[in-house]
Amino acid sequence: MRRTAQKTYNAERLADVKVTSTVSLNAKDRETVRQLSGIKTAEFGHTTDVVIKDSQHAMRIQSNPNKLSKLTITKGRKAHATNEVVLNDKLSGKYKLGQQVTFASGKTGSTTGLKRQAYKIVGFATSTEFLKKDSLGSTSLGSGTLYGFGYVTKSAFSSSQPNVARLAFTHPNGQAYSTSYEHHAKTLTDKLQKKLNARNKTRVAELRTELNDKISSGESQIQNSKAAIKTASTQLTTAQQQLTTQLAAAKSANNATAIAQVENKLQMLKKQSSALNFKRESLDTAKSDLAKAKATRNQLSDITFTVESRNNYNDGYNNYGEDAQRIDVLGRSFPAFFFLIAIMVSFTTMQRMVDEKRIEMGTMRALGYTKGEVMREFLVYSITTAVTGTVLGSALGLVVLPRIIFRAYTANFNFKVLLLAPHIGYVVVGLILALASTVLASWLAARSSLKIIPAELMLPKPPVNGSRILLERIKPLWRKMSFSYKVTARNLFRYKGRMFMTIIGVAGATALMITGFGIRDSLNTIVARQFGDISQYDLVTVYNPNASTTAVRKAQGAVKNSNQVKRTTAAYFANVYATTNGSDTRENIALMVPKSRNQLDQYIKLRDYKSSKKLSLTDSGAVVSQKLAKLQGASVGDTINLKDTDGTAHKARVAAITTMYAGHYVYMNRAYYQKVYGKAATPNAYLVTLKHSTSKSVNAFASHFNRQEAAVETVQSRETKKTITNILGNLNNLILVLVVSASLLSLVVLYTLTNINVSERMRELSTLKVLGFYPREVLMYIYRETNILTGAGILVGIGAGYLFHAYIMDLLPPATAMVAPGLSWINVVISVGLTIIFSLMVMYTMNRKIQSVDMLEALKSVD
Amino acid sequence: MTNFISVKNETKRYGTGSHAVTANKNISFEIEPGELTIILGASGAGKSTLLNVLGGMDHLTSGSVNVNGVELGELDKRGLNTYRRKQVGFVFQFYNLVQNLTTVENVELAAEIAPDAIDAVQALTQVGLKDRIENFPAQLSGGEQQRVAIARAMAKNPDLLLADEPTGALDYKTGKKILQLFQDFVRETGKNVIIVTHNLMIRPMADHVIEIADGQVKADKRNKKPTPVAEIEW
Repeated sequence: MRRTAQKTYNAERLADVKVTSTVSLNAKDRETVRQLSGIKTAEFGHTTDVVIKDSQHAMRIQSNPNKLSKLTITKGRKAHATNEVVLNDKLSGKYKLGQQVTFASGKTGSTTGLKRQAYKIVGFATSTEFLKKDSLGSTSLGSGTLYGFGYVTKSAFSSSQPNVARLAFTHPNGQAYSTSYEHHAKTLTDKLQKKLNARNKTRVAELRTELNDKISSGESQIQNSKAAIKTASTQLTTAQQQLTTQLAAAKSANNATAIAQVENKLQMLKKQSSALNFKRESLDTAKSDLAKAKATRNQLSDITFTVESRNNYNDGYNNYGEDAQRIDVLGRSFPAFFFLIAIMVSFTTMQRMVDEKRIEMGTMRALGYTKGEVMREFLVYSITTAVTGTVLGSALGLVVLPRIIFRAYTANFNFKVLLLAPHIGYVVVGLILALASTVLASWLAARSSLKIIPAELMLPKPPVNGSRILLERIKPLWRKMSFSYKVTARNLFRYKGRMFMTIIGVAGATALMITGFGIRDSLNTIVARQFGDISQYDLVTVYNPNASTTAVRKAQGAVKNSNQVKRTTAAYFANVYATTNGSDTRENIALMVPKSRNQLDQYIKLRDYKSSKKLSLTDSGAVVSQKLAKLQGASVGDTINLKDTDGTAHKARVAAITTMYAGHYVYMNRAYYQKVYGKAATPNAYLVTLKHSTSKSVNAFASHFNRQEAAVETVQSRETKKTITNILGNLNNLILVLVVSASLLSLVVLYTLTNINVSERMRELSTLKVLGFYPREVLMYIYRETNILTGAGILVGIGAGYLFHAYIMDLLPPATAMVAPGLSWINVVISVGLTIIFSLMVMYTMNRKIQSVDMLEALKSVD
Repeated sequence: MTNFISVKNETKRYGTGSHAVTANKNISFEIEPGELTIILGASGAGKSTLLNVLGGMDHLTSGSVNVNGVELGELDKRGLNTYRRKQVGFVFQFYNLVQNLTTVENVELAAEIAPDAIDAVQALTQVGLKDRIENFPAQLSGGEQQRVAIARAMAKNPDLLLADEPTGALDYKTGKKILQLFQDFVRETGKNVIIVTHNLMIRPMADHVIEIADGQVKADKRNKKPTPVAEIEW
């Protein structure tokens, strides 16, 4: 799986890091980026988010990349002319080549950043920057998630200055997803971020001076023109009055020439007045420009310059990696069991085969074949089976199964072809184990047989002698046991190896089934508990409080005055992250500071993770979500480092830990935020519960909000739910494969062992029949022990399943999610039920074999 | 006539059509209660088939076999099973003891399923193995093992004791002891024993000798004065 991804990344040269900026990058910025150490290639590009006209579909439009994160064209060609666009492959179902698509700005009062509105579709493409089919990324427009993406030429953008940079490392230090690569990427990104922060400061300072100059010059200009306008308007008024008097005089004198002169002057005066009006208008524009400049100056602190590695700028990259990791976890633990069983089964089978060939061996020896030659027969046989088995197994394991799993897993990703990796190592290990279990078994068995002299070898193997068992020594107990149980007890302990194999086989199958179903259950509980019990809100709407007052008021109004809203509360919301020592991944955290601390409980139920007691926000620390605390290794009283997007760290004390199944959250009250960040937590968001929380109404509400000029983003609870549901969907197939193989294996074990048992005791069974045992009694004579072993296996399996499930659930879920430990009893019942059904199936087949045992066998000579 | 067993025109055919093999053809004989009967015949003569039919292990094709009032031809599989269970004790040529069970447990195995069973230890005492009850079969000699098998058959307290070549795998002396057991059993209990063998020499010990050849009764002789086993030589 990883190989496939790596190959695609290499082919498209997926950028190692991406630098994004809230404002366009000027020459100096670009120079800084280019000069960063450890960077081989840097490519600058444009990006802007727009919506498709007359819809809420948000699209990310970027300039054609040439060197890094290149496109894979699936249909048509790249955009060459300024009026051409390439859309993402998924949209090829909705749009046709040559069709026009019109973009519009997603917010009122802003532009698209593009020169034209309408574009001709010339191609469709996939990009490794957008790996996931269903969730391309988040945006501040529309419903909050991208509907698609498009690529246009550089010249299609109105600005000449780029606003994004893609970088490639000089030394990537390994393949994508390898520890060395990810570690390198993380350390380098951290370093780059520091440099960029420095540059950002200078840049902001420069912009500030620039803006200050602009504002002061604008202000003085406005002053000047105001004064000029004032003088001009006074003059005009005076002139008007004079002319009016003159006109009246001229009219009374009936002097036509004078009238004409005065009217002429009046005309000129009118012109002057309109010129004055024009000046007034331009004054207004200057004023609004000034206001805008002032607003921009206010927002200067919002300008960021961030650099992110693949894991952070590319959701798909990260998810794909996590998915592969998840498969690893399952892939490491399940085969261990399968191998164990397979080895045991082939070991017994081979030994049994040698035993059955005993007389043949004796005859060959008697005819003069050497020990070596006899031995060779078995070795050739077992080597052939081992090699054939390994070849078939490898074909299945390296080609067929990965295809199934890949198909299940990449249903959500834009990978087309699976690149199969010939895992020579695994094949070799498999072959060695296969050889060991078959060849070694037959060699050991044959060797011990061959030690016996040929004459004796030609006689059947003396049956295993009965022996005392421990239970017998406990006289009172032994005496009380019914006869049939005594027999069973003796048989149980007769073949200890088989006893353990049956128990292990059945236990393993039960455990795997419990785990398989448990994984599903546990992930289901995440959704149920998180979104049923804990999160009571549908979305968070974030706006920019530094935007112009009217814009802010409008954005607030979009939430507060909507009739869709059931209830809402204001809060400060910020995206921060934390890193753990020794780990290269960032834990993205949503930091929330509610405005009113009493209302929070209506939106999120903060409950202590141990006592389930209601938590309230205090001045002495933050309430941290459980999984985050676990990842950080923090308990109550410890401090954790919360980092802003630019890497600035703030220390926060953990006052309490709250149960939370999905997502990382930190909650503070306003006083504590003030203490940690040294500034007030001005509300910039609303937690919103809608009247109808269907995806349609949430999306509609989100897009309505995002159209507002001051809107920053919407965070939908549904998105997390969707992510988990997706993982669940992917896992289901995998679990099915595992459960089916586990069940098959337990069937095989039970069948093989019972079969051996029956074959070896043919004579015993036929004797029982002659003695007049009824069919049921004969079956139970054999099966009482199998049933006891199956029962024991199931009990062991429940225990093992519980532990294994806990182990898997520790590793499996996405880093942001936490699962409720424990298993539902329904799961246990189903798993045990299935195991029982399987063993009954084996019992049914075995019964037919047992019943067909010929009584006359008992009369025949022993051979 | 109060015959214990009466066989009339018993025929047993294996297979159908042109492949049919007739193993027993119109066999008729009668056995009185308390008889020690020997069915004699060479290999392939059909004596094993007859034993299977008498022992309720196989259905007869035609004719009638009545054992102590039970008409075997009318019994279904389950009926034969019950018949074997309640009325027949079986002694095999190769003892067929369960290796994993002790001597006494091997006997209990049969006693467990029979309604009027004799106590296992008592049965073993009768065959002279009181001291070996806790031993496993592998720890016993062939003769001792066969005695366990006889004890097992006797413990069921059956109406009829069938023995298939009981001395076939034993040496002369041991064989004699085994046969003595059968003779004593008949004399003491008044029950019936049928021994199937190809050994002509043991003929004198029986009350009744039926010779089978080519699937038919060749001779049916009663021995007014059976010789005690100890006096027979072969």
